[in-house]
Amino acid sequence: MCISEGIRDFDGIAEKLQKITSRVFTIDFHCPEIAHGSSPGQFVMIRFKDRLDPLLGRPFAVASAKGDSFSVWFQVVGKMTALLSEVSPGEKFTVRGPLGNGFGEPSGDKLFLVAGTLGVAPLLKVYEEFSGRLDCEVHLGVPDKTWKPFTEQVRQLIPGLRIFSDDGSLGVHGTCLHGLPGEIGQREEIWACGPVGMLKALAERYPQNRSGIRVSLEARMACGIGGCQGCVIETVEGKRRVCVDGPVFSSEEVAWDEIR
Amino acid sequence: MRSDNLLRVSCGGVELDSPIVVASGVWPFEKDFWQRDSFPGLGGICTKAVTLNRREGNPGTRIWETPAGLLNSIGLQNRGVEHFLERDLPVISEGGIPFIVNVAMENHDETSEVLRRLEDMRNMIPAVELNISCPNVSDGGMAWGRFAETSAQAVSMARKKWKGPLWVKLTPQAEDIAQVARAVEEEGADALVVGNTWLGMAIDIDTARPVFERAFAGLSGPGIFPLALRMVWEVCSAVTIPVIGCGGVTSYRDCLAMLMAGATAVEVGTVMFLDLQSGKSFSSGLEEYLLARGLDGMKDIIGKARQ
Ligand SMILES: Cc1cc2nc3c(=O)[nH]c(=O)nc-3n(C[C@H](O)[C@H](O)[C@H](O)COP(=O)(O)O)c2cc1C
Ligand code: FES
Repeated sequence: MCISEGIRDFDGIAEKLQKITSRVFTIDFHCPEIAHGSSPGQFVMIRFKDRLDPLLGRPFAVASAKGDSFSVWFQVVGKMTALLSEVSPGEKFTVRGPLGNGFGEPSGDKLFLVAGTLGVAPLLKVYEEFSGRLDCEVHLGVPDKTWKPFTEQVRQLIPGLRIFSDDGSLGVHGTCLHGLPGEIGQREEIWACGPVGMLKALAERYPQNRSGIRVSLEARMACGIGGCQGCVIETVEGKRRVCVDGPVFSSEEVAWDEIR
Repeated sequence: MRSDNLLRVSCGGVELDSPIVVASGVWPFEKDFWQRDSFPGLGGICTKAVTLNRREGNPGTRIWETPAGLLNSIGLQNRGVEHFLERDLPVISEGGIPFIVNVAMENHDETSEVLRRLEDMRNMIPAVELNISCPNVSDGGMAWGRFAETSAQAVSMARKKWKGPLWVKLTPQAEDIAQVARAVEEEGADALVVGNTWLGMAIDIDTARPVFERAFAGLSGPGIFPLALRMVWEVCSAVTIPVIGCGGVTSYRDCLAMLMAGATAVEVGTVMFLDLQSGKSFSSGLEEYLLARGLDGMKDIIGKARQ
């Protein structure tokens, strides 16, 4: 029984928890419908089945899919992620998805994939999907060298990864925008995900090229299906819902001046 | 006996195949969400609030989770009645699920204009739910539902404009809920929804500021269920028209408790964020409960705890 483009609440079973740093983890969930049915940039809302606290699902990008399982990457930031960091294999979850528009198809033949820390999650799936047929150059920014195990983990999946750190203690000194070219060519695009300040800086850096930049945004969400209006952001067309109108927006759609 | 017969109720002028109705503000207008076959077990769906003009809703944080609860400050974001009639109504009326149009009370003139326009389309609209209880706006909203006198004024106006089934959604912030309920019944409401969210707040200790721009917000979810149940009980003691229990329902057991307290139907909001098929699982639970006890229908459950 399909709902909107196949969106449903599926059963998901935690298969494997991997600790990457003291604060960063990945979990593989067995959930064939999402593993086979989601495209790069789409996300799911994950909640503990039959628990009323935490109450709502939390949005996580689908970072990769293998067989009947998909994986998510996260940093411990609150109650839900703290609980997830202690999950046991076999634990049952509800997985709502696949949600959101995703990145869509590239329009040129080169992609710059630009990530701030955990913003790399959706871009891993982009890389998985597109690196075979076009040039994907991946730039990852982290605060400092305590993130080394994280960057190593990403490098295993993306051999040519370029690493930047705010304090210069890992990779090149600078943010993930540091190594990008001065101008984006006709056949090139930037796809990015990370803290909103970074995405705004990206938009400001290429005022003429905003149509060539796609950004994946985050928001607090309750429903994930466009019902509650809880996740809106300011765009040039007024408020729009990150969960169904996004999470990926063209940089020219976003009203950056009104975003804090 | 077919399940939709067993669970059937007649509630404030609307025939519901099941007493479980989706509460206002949680369901999108996209077509797929209004197909009866996709959501078995649902008796009806309330639309997001409709106002005369487009409203952008509130700035800043809009949702905040609490232990077993959810604070929201959406602020009635919607595209206005014209957009609703032209774009949404044709879509939602095709799916076959009875729907109830939630109309947010703003001021007398604007809301009477909304109802006048809905009245012109009355043959397409099963019922209106007059929302005199939104806690998240400065103009109108909950201010109407706090007192018997202002509640009566709103309902009296609505009754003159809208001739179809009229549900009125009360606020837990009412000064005296029984008095408000009686006043609304006297003005000709067909059913009472008890009720909207409970006024609460949150403070972000990192910024030392209230989380919400309007400081206060509406609390929903399982944390409020005992409060809502008590209020349903009180209102059922005060009026004879059907009451629809709403607030924190997350299981078929909660549905049963609301019904046993005297409610004719139940509205479910926050739980739809947890499980889109709540209608189906709650209906199956109710049905099994009835069958296991050899009961004939909802009439054997409604108000049972009061006897
Ligand atoms: C995000 C959100 C938006 C809501 N919007 C409306 C609304 O537009 N009109 C209305 O009458 N009630 C609105 N409500 C209140 C719900 O319809 C319901 O009365 C309340 O949430 C209590 O029920 P629950 O605990 O089952 O959610 C909203 C609730 C939430 C959580
Ligand atoms: S999370 Fe509910 S509309 Fe986006």
